[in-house]
Order: sequence, then C-alpha cells, then structure tokens
Amino acid sequence: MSEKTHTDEFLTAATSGLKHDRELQLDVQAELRSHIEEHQREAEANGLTPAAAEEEAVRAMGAVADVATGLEQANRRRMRFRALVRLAAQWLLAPLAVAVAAMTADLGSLQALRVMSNLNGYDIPLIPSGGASEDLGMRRSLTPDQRLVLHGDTTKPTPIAQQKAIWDKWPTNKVYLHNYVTCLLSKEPDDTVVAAEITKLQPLDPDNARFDYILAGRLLKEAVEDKRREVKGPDGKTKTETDTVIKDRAKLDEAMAHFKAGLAKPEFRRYGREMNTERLAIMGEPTSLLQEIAQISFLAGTLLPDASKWRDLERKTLFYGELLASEGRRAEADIFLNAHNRFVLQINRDVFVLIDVLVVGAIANLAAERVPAIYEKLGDTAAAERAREEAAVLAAPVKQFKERVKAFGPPAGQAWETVTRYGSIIANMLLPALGEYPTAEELAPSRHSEYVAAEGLALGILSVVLFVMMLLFVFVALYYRWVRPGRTATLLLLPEASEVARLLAYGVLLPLLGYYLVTRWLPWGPRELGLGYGGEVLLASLLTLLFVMMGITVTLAGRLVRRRCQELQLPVAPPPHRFWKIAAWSLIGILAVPGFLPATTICWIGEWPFMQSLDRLHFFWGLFVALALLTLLIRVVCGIASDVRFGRRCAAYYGSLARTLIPVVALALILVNICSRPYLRMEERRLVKSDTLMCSDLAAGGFTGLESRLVQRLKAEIQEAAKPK
Amino acid sequence: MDYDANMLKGVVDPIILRLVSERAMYGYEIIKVINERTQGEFEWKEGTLYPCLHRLECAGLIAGEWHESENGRQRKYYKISRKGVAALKEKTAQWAAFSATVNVVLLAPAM
Repeated sequence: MSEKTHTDEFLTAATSGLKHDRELQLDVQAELRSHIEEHQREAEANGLTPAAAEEEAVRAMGAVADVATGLEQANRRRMRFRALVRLAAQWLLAPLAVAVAAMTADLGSLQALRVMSNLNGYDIPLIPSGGASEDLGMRRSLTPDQRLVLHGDTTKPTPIAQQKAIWDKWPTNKVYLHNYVTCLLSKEPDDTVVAAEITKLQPLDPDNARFDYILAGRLLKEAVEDKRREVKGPDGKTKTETDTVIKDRAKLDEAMAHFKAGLAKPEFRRYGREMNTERLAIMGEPTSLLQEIAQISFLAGTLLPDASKWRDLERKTLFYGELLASEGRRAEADIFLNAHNRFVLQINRDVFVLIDVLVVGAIANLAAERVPAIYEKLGDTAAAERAREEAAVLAAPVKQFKERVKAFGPPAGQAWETVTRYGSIIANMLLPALGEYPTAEELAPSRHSEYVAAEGLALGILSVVLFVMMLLFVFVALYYRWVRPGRTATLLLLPEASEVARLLAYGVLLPLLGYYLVTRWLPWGPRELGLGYGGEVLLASLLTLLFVMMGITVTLAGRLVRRRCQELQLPVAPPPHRFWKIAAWSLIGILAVPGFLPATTICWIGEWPFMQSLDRLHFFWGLFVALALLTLLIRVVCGIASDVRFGRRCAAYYGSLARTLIPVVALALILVNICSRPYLRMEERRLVKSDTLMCSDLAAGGFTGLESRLVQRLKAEIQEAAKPK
Repeated sequence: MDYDANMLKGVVDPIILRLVSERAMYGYEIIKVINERTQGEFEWKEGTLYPCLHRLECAGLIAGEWHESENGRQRKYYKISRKGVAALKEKTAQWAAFSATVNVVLLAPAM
C-alpha cells in the first residue's frame, strides 16, 4: 500500500470538516489537489526537486487548521441542504414513487377486460352504503335509497326478497312492482307460488295485460303437453314437429280466458326499460371505458322472463283457435286465430331490446306459417289469403332485418368487414349481430378509448418495470458495497437541479411527448384500425417508448455519473464499445418503425403470401418482444463484461452509478405517472362521452346506442304493420 | 507592505468577483492574477482563497464548474453569475464612495 504524501495529509486534514458529505469532501479535495499539483509543477520547473516542490506547494496553502475551519464554515449551509436532499433521495423518493404509482394506478383496463369476458350479465359489485365503488369505476357515493334501487336489500336471503324490498319501500311504484314480478318469474322455481303471488298482485295494476299472460302461460303448462317428433320434409331433410296434446281441457279454457282478458286490456307493460333507466341514472353517465362496458354488461344481464313465454303462448293460442274451429265454434275460433295482431301490437309497445323484437318477429312468423294453413284446412280460402297477407306484413320488418344481417354480416359482408377492421373489440362483440352498420367515423371514439385503456394498462406495466429497475440498482449498489467493494465507498451523487431537470426532460418528457405526437397526430393515422388489427403497432410503439425512456435516462445519468466520478478523481471504467451502443439503439430504431407506419401496413404485410401460413398476431408480437429482449440482452451482457474487466478497480464508480440511478428512476416513475395518468383519464372521458354507438341509451333502453337505434326503428315498423287496417 | 488582515477581509469578495467577471478562472489562476496585478503586495495564503470561493458560490454570486484544461487535467473554473454582477457593481460603488470618504480625512493636509 502506498504511503500518504504531504498533499494527501493536507487534503485529509483541510477537508475533515466536510467528512459528512463524502461527495463534497472529494470535490473540494480534488480542487485543492489540482491547485497544489499546479503549484508543485511550477516549483519543479523553477528547479526544485519533486519533494521540495510538493512541500513548497503545501506550505503556500497556509495553516491547514485555518483552511479546514474556513472550508467548514463556508460549506456549512450547503452541507446542511445537501444532507436533506440526500436523505430525501435515499429514503423518500423511492417510496414516494411507489406511492404515486399506486395512487394513480388505474386497474380499470384490467377490469374492463374481465367484464368484457363476461358480457352476458355483469353482477354489479356491492357498493357500500355511503361509500364509493372503484369496481364499477363509480367515484361518487350512493345514498342508501340509491343503493337499495341498484342492488335491492342485500341483507335479505334470496334475490327475490332482495328485489321485493325495493317495492316494499315504495309500494305505489309500478316500476318496482314489476321489477319484483320479473325477478319472481326468473328465480322462483315453484309455479304454484308464482301463480298465487301474481293473482295477489294483479289488482294493483288491473289494466296491465302482463298478469293475464303470466297466468295463462302457467295454466297452459298444466293444460297441454307438447310432444316432439321428427318428420321428413319434402326436401328429404329431417325436421322436428310439435304435437300438442290436451291434458286438462278446463284449464286450457281457463288459460285462454286469461289470454283473451289480457288482449282486451289497454296495455302490456313490464317496466324493464324504466327500471334499467333508473339504475343507469344512479350509476351515472359513464366516464371511462370500464363504466361503459360495465353498463352494457349490466344491461345485457337484464332479466327477460316474459319474452321466452310469448312465442309459446301464441302457439297454444293458434292450437286453441284450431280446436274451437274443429268444434264448430268458428266465431270464437277467429278471435284466437287472429289474436296475434293485437298481441303483437300490445307487446311491441313495451319491447326495448333486440331480443324482444326478435320474439315479436317470431310470433309474426308463426302466425304467417300457421294461420293461413289452418283457414285452408277449414276451407276458408279468403280468410287464409287475408291472414297470409296480414301476417306477411307483420313479419316483414324482422324478416328484412335478418336478411340484412345475412347480407352485410359475417363472415364476408362489407359492413361486417368495416366493423371488424375499424371497430373496437367490444364493437366486434356486439355490433355484427345487429345488421346495422355504422360508419368508420362513428366507430372511432369506441376504438380510440380502447387504445387509451390499453395505454393505461401499459402505464401500469411501465411503472412496474421502472420499479423493478430501481430494485435492480439497489442490488447492484449493495453488490459493490458488500460483495465487491472498492477502495472508496460508493456515493449517492447529487447532481445540480438543472442537470436533473435536463435529464428528466430528455429521458422522460420528450419521449412521452414524441409518443403522444406519433400515436395521436400523425396525419396517416396509426390508430385507424381496431386493437384487433392495430394491437401490434401499439405494442411496438409502447415497447419503443419504454426502451427509449430507459435508454436515454440511463445513458444520460450514466454520463453524468461518469463525469462526476472523473471530477472526483475516482477510477472510471471506459464506456462500452461503440458497436454495442449502435447495436442497441438500432434495435430500438427497428422497433420504432412500425409505430410510425399507417395502421393498414401491418394488415398489408399480414396478407403477403409467406405470411399466410403464419399467425399474424403471434408473428408480430413475437418479433417485437424478441427485438426488445435482444436490446435488453445487449445491455446486460455489456454490464456483466464491464464488471468482469473493471469491476474491482472501478467499484466506487459502478456502485455510485447504481446508487444515483435509484432516485433518478424514482423521479422518472413519478413524472411518468403525474404527466400521463391525468391526460389518459381526460382523453378516455372525452372519448367515452363522444361515443354514440356503444353508450347505453337511457331513453331507448337498448344495450348500446346502435341497438337502441335499431330497436326503435324495428318497433316503429312493426307498430305500423300491426295497426288494424 | 504588510496589510492588516481585517482591512483585506472587506475587499477579498469584490476582488474575486471582479476577476471571475473578466473570464472563468480556477483557484490557482486567481491567486496568480492577483499576485501579478498587485505585484505581490497581497501575500495571501493560497488555501484561504477556497473558503472565499465556496462562500461566494453558496451565496449564488459565482458558479463553479469542472472542465478539462488544455493539458487534459480537470480544473474547477468559477464564473460570475447574474446575481454576482449586481453584487460586484454595488460593492465597487460602495468601495469608491468609502475610499473617497476615507481619503478626504486621511489624505487631506492637516488643518
């Protein structure tokens, strides 16, 4: 070990008052050393021996005690400030970064995916009384009454009792009464209980045909039995036909009396649309994709127990009419054989979802098939012809709708192609069956909101990656402190505020700005296609953003630490060979290219002959992830190679680099979340609000805006067709 | 001539500010320039310059920055800040007024 020189002794003593700030002490020592060495060189040039020159230079500095006191006093304030900053950088920044990431974390995108996977009925999560629900994305509190209307009384043991509790609280409210009836029909397995309850409730809404039809349906179950048999049609194909066998004629008559009574009533109402409207109003206007999907999903879970019974009721009515005619009671028979016109008119006023409309169409279809045949069998060709014409008019709207779905819909219709290419994932799930196709412009808000939700998810992943990076640097710092320590302890360097600001501006803000510019405002629209097609482009741009941010931040911070270590006269390892730097940045450059391309390019490449045998999605995802991993691998290999070659000599440099990078990455994590999260939330809110296709239409009651439009149109057409001529 | 240390104390800051306002300088260079201009009249202990420099730096009047010199050695150069320029102006005016006032008494012929 080399002996301490005069200079070393002077420097150690002169800076002894700065020992609590090791970086500052090394900085001042380096400054004084440079002064002494320069003086020494001049003295040597004037003919002194090196030893005498050193002594002369040290003597010229004056009394070491005076210098030490002066330096300690001059730097006291600075040291105090730096101690606070170091404390914050060492112990506060990393936890603060984690806290900011956790506070701003938005699991909405993940939840949206979960809800989308269960679109057939989303159970509204329980919302604590007076509390807010993050699950539905609802950020406002609910009153106990709102909570009751939304969930029912959850303290009750059964769903029926829970829903009945709403009506119990507001007994004159018909919406809540029929909500209870709906739940009863859906959930009560015992028909006798249903019949008894319905009989009891009927006087509360005497003008509503719903109770009569329910009672009729329940009696028909006991009165007749359907027996299915297979028959060969004229085309040779086997089809199933149903024979109805009477079990109890008295009950059949009673059931049909109920049906007839229902037909005579002024209205048929289930109040399902009104109940949904009330519940959606409580949930509030959706401001996020999750809320939008949750509301669609909630609507998709609407109970529709009546609709399934309507077709059977019509079939039995026709059977009864035929029976009466065969018994010679033609006048009475005519009432039942033509009941479908009045029946359809009545229930059509209450339909509010497409399923309802399709059932109405099925009733009209059944009438169109059976009634003319029955009249022909009775020998009344005029009545048969009239019935054929009327039923055809009645069935036409739904028939035409089905033809439209067939023509424009999957698998090759052009309109379907538009939805699959330009529509969001949720639009792809819900719209093709509607046969009513929106324009590419109408599809844009829903598509873009999915991109934004995916970015929200990616931001969460980015936060996790940055957190893992912080942990990695902690391990590296510990490694150079305990496992492979150097002669000088590792330092937590405190760069100037302006240097940190520049580093974060270049490493975080500029890449973020670049990302938003490229993804939002490129004139050739990298987001013109739905996530199903543009997912690869999104992945490429997100990976590029991640690597550019990490690359610039680590490179700039590394440069800063290298320069500072050189100033402090700590041994510094040479930077990796240029080849590796160029290789890593080239890979990032290649990864960035797809993010700049028009969205259609990926589809175009996907249609290349050699791509036909490959899965486009897996190919591009695999390619981009492989590029990213290769870039990471180059960085890791360079790091390990440097450690093997220079680790022992430059431990202080490597350790200081790792220690200094921890607060830098923490700051980057805070900045990314603070800058991006509010912007993404704002954008998602704006897009969801401007989405007219996928939003739930409170007034019309459809699952989505487009379905509401369709239902309203079909309802109007059926209403027109069913009007007595 | 040996100067009273207290007398020197009051002029060290303006002198340093003045020198680093001309160009960025490092510690040893500042000592040399002072010696050169005062023809060695100010016999400073070189080490005492650094507490002054650091005090001025902490006060934001000058800013230190490490640079590589032409011979490849790292040196810490100091340059005056905007705040330092204002302070120098003020201190120079103060000194002019002060020395003129003192001169009126000290250098005037006895009455």
